[in-house]
Amino acid sequence: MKEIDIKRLSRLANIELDKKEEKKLQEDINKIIKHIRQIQEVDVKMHPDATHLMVDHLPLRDDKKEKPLTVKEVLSNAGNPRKNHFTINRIIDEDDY
Amino acid sequence: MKTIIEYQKLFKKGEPTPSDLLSSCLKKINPSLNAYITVTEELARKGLEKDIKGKLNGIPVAIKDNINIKGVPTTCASNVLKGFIPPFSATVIERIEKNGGVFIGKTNLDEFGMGSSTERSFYGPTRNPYDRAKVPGGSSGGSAVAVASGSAVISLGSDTGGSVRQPASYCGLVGLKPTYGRVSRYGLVAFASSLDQIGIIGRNAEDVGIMLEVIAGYDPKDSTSSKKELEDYGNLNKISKNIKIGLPEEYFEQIDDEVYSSVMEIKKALEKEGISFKSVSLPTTDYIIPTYQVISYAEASSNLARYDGVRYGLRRNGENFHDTIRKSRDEGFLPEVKRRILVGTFVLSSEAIAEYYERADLIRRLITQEFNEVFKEVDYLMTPATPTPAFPIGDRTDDPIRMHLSDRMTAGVNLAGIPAVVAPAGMIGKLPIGYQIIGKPFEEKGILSVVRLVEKIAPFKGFLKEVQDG
Amino acid sequence: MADYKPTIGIEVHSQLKTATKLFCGCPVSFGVDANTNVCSVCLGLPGVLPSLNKKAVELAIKAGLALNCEIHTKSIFARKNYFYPDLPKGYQITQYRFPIATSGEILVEGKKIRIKRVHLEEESAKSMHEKDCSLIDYNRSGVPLIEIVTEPDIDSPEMAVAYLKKLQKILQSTGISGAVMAKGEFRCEPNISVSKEKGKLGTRTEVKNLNSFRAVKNSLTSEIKRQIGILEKGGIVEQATIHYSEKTEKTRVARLKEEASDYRYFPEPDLPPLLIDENRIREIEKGLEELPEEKTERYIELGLLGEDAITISNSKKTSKLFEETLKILNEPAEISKWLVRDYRSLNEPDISAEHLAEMIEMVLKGKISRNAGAEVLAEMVKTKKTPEQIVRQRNLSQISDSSALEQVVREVFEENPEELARLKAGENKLIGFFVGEVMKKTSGKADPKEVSRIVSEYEKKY
Repeated sequence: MKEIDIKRLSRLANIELDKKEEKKLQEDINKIIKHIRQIQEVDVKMHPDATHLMVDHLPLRDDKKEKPLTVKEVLSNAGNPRKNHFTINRIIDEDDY
Repeated sequence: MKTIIEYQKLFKKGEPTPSDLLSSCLKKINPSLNAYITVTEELARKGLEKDIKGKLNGIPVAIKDNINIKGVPTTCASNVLKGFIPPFSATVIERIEKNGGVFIGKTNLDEFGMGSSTERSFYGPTRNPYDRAKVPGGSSGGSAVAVASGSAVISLGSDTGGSVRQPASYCGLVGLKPTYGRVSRYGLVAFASSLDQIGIIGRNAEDVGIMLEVIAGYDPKDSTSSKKELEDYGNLNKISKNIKIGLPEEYFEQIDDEVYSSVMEIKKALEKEGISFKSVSLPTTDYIIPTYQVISYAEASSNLARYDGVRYGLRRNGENFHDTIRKSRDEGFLPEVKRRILVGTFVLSSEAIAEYYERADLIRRLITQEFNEVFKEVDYLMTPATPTPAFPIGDRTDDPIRMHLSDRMTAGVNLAGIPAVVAPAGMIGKLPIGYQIIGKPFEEKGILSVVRLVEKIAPFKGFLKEVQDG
Repeated sequence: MADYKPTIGIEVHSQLKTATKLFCGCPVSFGVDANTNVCSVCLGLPGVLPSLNKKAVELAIKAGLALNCEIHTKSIFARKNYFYPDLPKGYQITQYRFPIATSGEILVEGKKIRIKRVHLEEESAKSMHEKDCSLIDYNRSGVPLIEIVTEPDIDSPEMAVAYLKKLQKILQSTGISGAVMAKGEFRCEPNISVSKEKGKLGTRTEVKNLNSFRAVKNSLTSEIKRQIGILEKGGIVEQATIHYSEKTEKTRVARLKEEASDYRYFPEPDLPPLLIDENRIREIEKGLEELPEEKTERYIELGLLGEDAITISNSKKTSKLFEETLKILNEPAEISKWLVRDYRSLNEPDISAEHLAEMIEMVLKGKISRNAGAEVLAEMVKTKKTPEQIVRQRNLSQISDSSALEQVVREVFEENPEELARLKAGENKLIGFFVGEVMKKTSGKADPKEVSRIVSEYEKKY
């Protein structure tokens, strides 16, 4: 079985891992995947269509305006808001060149 | 031990008053059990002042800390939600409020609902009141302990693979996972969207049924909630003795002998009432755990992507945007959650998705189909709730595979979307052990009625003093 | 340079004209203060769930129909997973394998451009940049979009612009989208490759950050040059994202597509399948109006003169009358002449297609003269009588019976021997004189065409 590329997964999931975590997680995840691989044994040729969904179609909402949160509420959990905006590290914009 | 209806009769006489009951519940909160992350006494008192008449008037309810109450911190037992206070309440919370219920506190859980022991919490483990060295079960361990130790009359939890039913088994309580779509998920912090349901943990079937009447029903904010009409789930005293209950052989494998005998005692009691039992088979049972893992981890990896520290929660600044997110998430999540996110990311990745996620979806349909077929022969299924009673704290914490062992009996129900209830079968030494009744979609009244019958003919004698005195 | 052919496909994101966002009831508005149109849902707070906007679905269906697509009665939403500051949930709810519409086409300057798909998705938030940080405004987060993707059928920067202009007009005239580029309601991302070999496509690059049609044309022209330049030198064009700068009007490779982001698409578990009623689709179809240009093209194909086609198609009333009359009487050119002149000069009155057809048929069959026809039309408008009634009452029947007319022609020949002699000598314009005399004698009832024919024939005999 191909080894799971934990560096790539941590990049896709945006979780930084230090070397120790990486090693432990690599082991754990290999174990889990090995266990999960059992599902390859099951014969699913029948393509069953029974579903867990108890609602078989999407209900639609009328296009009517509802009251939004106040700006205060929106920003109430923000770390350091500025000018009524959320802040993050400066994104390098294409037009800077 | 009093039921909700009995309390309400007593409230009318003023002995106790709702305020008295709340005070006595608050006194019973035992910090060493660590069932609560946040106690909301002021909120509860304010609620009592409003004195809203309804099915839950004056009843203290404990809420698992992954269900939002406006203005009260929601942590999901995670550091990643540090400081987060939701500006809205879950639909179920609004419905409880409208019915006069009051909230005593937010209870501990495994981080984001991921675990079966309530050990994997940023706020430390919760302990089983029957034996402090044992787990209460998880992930809704706090909610179970709140009720089992008498500090709440009834509680809400969430059940994705057994997280309401397994703690109910370990704590001698009735734990219900309704049909998928029966109860709105709006306001429940998502773990695995297609599996999650808000569940109820209470002392008896009638209480649980009354709570279900209050919280169930269509919610336009939840597109997966069902418009199917509600029933009087609290009215459980009529049950036809012509029912047939199936015993799926695969669910009786790999369990402790004493668990087996406890469940058989319940079977015997029901047979005496004229109910017939039949052996049935669910061959896909062996694949329940890996299928559950693939689907729940995949959905979790996506549901937890929003925790990036930008709008709320923990933020650790890095050199650039991605660096900030990565550091925040690394510090914010405990190892189990990281494991699941990474595995979930893997099974959805382009090279693996067909073999894992899509395949698991097909197996899920097979499992569902199997249940459908079996329900053509029988009305309900009876199984053990867990293969063993509560296990010691620290026993399985670091073993990602063994932690899922109890899911074998419970997760199939989530995969198929069908309802199931766990209730106490008896005691094994100092510890309670439960049995499970599984029903067809929307058969909550039926399965609760079976439990009600058992309560009458084989009442559970293991309630703790704090509950009996309550 | 000439033997390199460009192949262009375009992806357009257009904001739908709804009052609220795609998955919540927050208002959609332009130019309001930051974070004032935001709720728990579009902020992606823990515990929220999406609730689909009915009007957005209808507009998406309308767009699919306007582009001649097949509308799917069952479509499915999916999650596109990636991290970015403007994406509050860490995923975008969009449609992937089962979009709402596929396999459409539109005509652009006579060429058929195939539309691969049209699907619904939610818009991301907006970021602004300060010196030391970036600011995020979630007002735009969750606004409904449709994504329209073409097949690579466009073969020049000019055609790309023509396609975009036409698409914009369709979306605007049908009320689906304001589609104003400057407001961010209409974003285009063309992809382009060049190739010398027929049937073989070169490597594609994607052009981003285009805010005007001019930018589209310039950037594609520039990119074609760049790619050809590489290939002529024997190099390989690498897959990349190309950035266009309005300032310098130049394109630049912004990002090489090394590892394509793995979006890990999977069906959105919070939204069951979207089922659309066939009847609803028909209803929406009825509400769609054909663009004047499309009508014009269609009419020209039917044989109308260009000018006439334009005149008729630019009036809803006239074009409706034209098409209805055409159903009864298959004489498009003839009908158009009557509409363009007489009907228009009467100021487009209300008349029935049946009566119009009846009148025109009478003229065509020679039962009444053209002039009589004009009279009938005028009277139809005034009195609402049927053409038959009018002709009878006013005795407008034309004499086209040749033997009767021959008789009259002979009479006129005898009464005008001088003119007859001149006609026989070759003064053919005198045919008109004789026709006029016959018309006088018959009180205008003779069929002038027929008279003219008889006169031309007979003069030889006399």
